[in-house]
Amino acid sequence: MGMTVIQRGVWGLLLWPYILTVSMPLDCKEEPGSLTRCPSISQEKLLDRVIHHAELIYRVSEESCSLFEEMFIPLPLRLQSNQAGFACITKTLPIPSSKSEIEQMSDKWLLHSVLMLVQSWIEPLVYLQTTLDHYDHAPEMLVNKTKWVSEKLVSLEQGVVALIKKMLDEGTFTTTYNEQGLFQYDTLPDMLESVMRDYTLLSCFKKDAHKMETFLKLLKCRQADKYNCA
Amino acid sequence: MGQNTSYCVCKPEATGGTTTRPHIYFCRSPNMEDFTCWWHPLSNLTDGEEVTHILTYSKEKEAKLECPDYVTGGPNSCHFDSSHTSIWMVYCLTVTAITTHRNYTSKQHCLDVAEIVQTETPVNLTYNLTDVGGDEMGHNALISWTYPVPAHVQYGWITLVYELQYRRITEPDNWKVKYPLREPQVELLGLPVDDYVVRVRCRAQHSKLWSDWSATLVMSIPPRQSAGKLLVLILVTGVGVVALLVITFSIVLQSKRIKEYFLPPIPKPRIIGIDPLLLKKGNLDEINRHFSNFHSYRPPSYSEEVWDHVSTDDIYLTTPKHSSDAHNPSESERDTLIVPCNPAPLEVSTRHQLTALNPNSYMQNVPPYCSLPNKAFTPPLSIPSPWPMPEIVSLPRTDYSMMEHPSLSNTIPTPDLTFSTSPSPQDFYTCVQLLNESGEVHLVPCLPPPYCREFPPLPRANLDTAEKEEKKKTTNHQTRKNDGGNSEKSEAAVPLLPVAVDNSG
Repeated sequence: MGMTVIQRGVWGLLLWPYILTVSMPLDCKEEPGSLTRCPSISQEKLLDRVIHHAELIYRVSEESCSLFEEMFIPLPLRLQSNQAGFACITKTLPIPSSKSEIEQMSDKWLLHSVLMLVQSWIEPLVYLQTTLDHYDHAPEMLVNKTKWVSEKLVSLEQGVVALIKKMLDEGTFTTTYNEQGLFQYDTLPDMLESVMRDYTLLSCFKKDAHKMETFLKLLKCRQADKYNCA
Repeated sequence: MGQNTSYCVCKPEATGGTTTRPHIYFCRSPNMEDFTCWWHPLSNLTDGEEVTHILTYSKEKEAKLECPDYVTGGPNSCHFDSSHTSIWMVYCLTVTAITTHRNYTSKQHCLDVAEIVQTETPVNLTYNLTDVGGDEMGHNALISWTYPVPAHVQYGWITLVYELQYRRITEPDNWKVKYPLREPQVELLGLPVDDYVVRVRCRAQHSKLWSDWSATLVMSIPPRQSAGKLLVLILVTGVGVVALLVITFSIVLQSKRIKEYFLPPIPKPRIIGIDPLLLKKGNLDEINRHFSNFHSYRPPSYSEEVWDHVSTDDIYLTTPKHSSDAHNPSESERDTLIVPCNPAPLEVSTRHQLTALNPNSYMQNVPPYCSLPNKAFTPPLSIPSPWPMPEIVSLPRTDYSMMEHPSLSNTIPTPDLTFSTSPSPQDFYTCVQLLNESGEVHLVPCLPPPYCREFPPLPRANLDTAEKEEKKKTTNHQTRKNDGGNSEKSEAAVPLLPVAVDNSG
């Protein structure tokens, strides 16, 4: 007699997720130049790439800051790591800084904080690029680095958006977080020297880049082991 | 085609064959910031038919877009620059061939830009030979190359991994692999002498696509430079030979000491006491010290001897006592002054010390020297005559002949006391054995002619005590001498009495 219709139906019901996944592969297979249908990039890969971006951005910004410091800032005026916080443009953002607060942040809040930071820095970096061109003897390496960082920051923004879409299943975000822009020439603190302003800008960006990297790494750590991350 | 040759060079050869519809066969991104895709066009065309290809793509769920750049990548390609490239989304592309009759749509090709990264081929492959003349295996070679576009790898955007392969020219399939390499250089150690073929390729760390192989490099390992080796060899042998010569000479010069060090001489059996070498050298102090252990040994003095003049008066004084006291011939015999000769120089340590004793000793010792009852001894008649000619008187019992001076009756027959002041070799030395009242003198020739000497007179009182002392002292001495027997002659001649005794023993 074989299988009755009911049995087939049951089998079909049980196996329908499998059928669905076979017909519609959700994630890319590990094949180079694969011809298989690959609708989207996996979450892990996205997160890895985003972290890779953040790491590079932080490293290059650190190098740029040191270069700038050596070239243009005399010793007594150099900022220590804990001093420049008050003058940063992103101080108005609701982003926690202490370790305990950060640990209590949810994944969603982590991602959104990163996005906020990234978006708020895109414009100032563009501005920094233009001002550096006006310097008399800014080294080419510094200019190139700043340019590269600003480019990658844009890419990072896209990545974080994609990640949010993937992880949090939220709708597409328009990159209009700071349309008004925190970066307004008027609201800048009184800096007589543009050099000092630029230096502060670079230092603040360096700090924020490190923050971004930390958030993202914490996020990754939580993906692997939820309760053992520091 | 001419604008961006890198893509053209890297583009793989299209697989031939007929295609009923276009087919995207290859897409790559050199730096994860832009990418290019190539397709096979429609091939079964009727003559004169025109065909255009359009590539459309969509990023995940977004709207379809057309290829932004058909030119840069060459024919049948589509190039996406950095503004159109996103690593966050999957691209799905399709190519449509539009002919007059119908459209042919290719299969959809989806890709993830980060996954299709194929880095550029390394260039400037060079080698440097290091360590000329190293180990027996051969030379070491430092091979280096460069990545053609450093901008791709700056800031760590792309991390490269290299792979190097090399083989001998004569072995076409035996490739040796060096993988993974992080630096654009590598050192190959211990390459045997031969010609090699070297090639290298690279890959982005997160990608699986390898770049094309670089242009092969022919590397030839030359044979070791003999000149250098020869020089070293000559130098080493020269130094070695010089060192050897120095060592040999030093050994030869110090051979004795070395021999003594390694083979110490076995000491000869030595008798405690006399060292013959000492005697040869004539170290008297040493000898005296050794001999002083012997009983009653007195070292001889070779110092100048002062001869005391013995006058007849002195002797005369003493002898009448003897003769007056004794009336018996036997007594007179006993009391006769026996004037001894100086038997041996051994007995004199210092003249002054033994002045009291010497005469006694001489007296006591005379008998063994001067009294030879068993020997026949004819004294020579050639006597120098400061004295009146003595008459020869012969004893009845013995064979001795005596000499007598009839003129000198009461006086001591001093002529018999032939004590000359200075001994001369022609003198005939006689020793007086007996002295009778009548003036008869028993003479006995002294055995050691050179050793008869004068002696100073002595008081009688001292004589007795001295006699007794000397008796004790000389008993051993005499016994020893008597034991010598025939060696008396030699004893007297050689003043090394103990040695004589020892040697005889």
